[in-house]
Amino acid sequence: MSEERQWSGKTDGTLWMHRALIGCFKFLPMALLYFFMALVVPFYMLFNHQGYLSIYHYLRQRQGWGPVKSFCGCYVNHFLFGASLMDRFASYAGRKFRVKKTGQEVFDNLAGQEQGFLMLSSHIGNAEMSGYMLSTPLKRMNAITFPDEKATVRSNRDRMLEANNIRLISADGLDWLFTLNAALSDGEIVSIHADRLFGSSKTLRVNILGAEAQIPMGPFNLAATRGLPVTAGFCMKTGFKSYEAIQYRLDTPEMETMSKTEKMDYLAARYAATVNGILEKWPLQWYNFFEFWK
Amino acid sequence: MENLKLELKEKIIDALNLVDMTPADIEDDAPIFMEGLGLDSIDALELMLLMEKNYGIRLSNPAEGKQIFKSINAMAEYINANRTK
Repeated sequence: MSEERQWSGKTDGTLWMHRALIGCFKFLPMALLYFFMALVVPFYMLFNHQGYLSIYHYLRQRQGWGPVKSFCGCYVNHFLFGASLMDRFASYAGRKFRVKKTGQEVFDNLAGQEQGFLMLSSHIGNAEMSGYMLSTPLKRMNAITFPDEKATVRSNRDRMLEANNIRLISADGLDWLFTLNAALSDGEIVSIHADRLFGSSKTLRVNILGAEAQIPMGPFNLAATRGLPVTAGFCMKTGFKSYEAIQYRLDTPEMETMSKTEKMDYLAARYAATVNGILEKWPLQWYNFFEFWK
Repeated sequence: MENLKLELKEKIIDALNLVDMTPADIEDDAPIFMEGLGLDSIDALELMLLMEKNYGIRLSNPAEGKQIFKSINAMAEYINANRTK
C-alpha cells in the first residue's frame, strides 16, 4: 500500500470549535443540523474530488452499481458519513441513540476474562461510536488513534471518553507501543483499525468484495504472536436515531495447531469475510475515502 | 555478557523471522530501529514480548524503552540487570 493511498488521519479544529460544536448538539434539533448538512454535501463532493471519486469507483467496481445509482450513492455515502460525525458529537453532548446489540455476548464473555483482547475496527459505519457503546467497567478499552489528530481535539475527546473507561492512544513514534504493550499485559481491550496502515508498511493480502486488497499486518501479527482473542466490531447507522453495534469473534479453536503466519492469514481472511458481509448489507457506509483497491 | 548478546541476537532473528541474517550480521552497538536493523512498530512489539517471555521483563515506560532498544549492548545490559527469568 503506497503512502499516497493512505489517509492523512488529520482531524482539525480548536478546542473552542469543538466545544461550540458540542454546544450546538445540546440545543439544536438534530433534524435541522442534518438538513444543513444535506445542503453542504454537494459542495463537499465537489471540492473533495478525490474522496468523491474513490467512493464512486467503489460503488461502480466493487458493488457493481450503474453510473447514475453510483453518483446518487456517493451523495448518500457523504451524507451518512457527515451524519455519523454529527451523531458522535451529539453523543458527547449527551444525546441518546437506540442501539441494537448483535454479538454482545462475544464482547461480554471476553471482557469477563482475565486476558485482554483485540477489537478490530474499520472505517465502515461509526467506528468510534462502536467503542463508546460497547465500553465496560470490567476492562479499560484502549483505542489507537491516528497521530495527526490535533492535540486540542484529542484532549477534549479524552475527557469525554474517560468517563466510559476508554483511553485514546495516539500512534505517534514508538512511545505508543509501550502503552499498548502494557495495556495488553494488564489484560485490557485494545481497539485498533485493521483497514489502514500506520507505524509499519507490512501488509496482508485479502479478498474484499471480489478484489485483492492490502490490510495492515500489525493487528493480526499482534494477535497471532500473543495468542489474543480477536473480535471485529462495527457500528452501523440504521435510522435517524438508531444504530446496530455488531461484534464477531474472529479467532477459533482450530488456530491452536497453526503456525504464526497461518494464524495471521486465517484471522485476516475472517476479518475480510466480516467486512464483506457488512458491506453487502450496508454498502453506503464505507468511509475509506481513497482508492482502497488500487 | 557475550553469551547473553549472542543468545539475544539468535532470539531476535528467530522472533522477527530475519531469515537472511546470522548473529554475526548484527553489530553490538548499531541502532536496532530504522537505520540499524530497519525494524518497525510490529517488530518493536515482538521485541517487547521477547523480553517479557524470555527474561520476565515487562516494558511500559516509553522513555526507558527507547534507551533499552538503542542497541544489542543496551538490551543485554538491561536484561542482565533486571531479568527475573
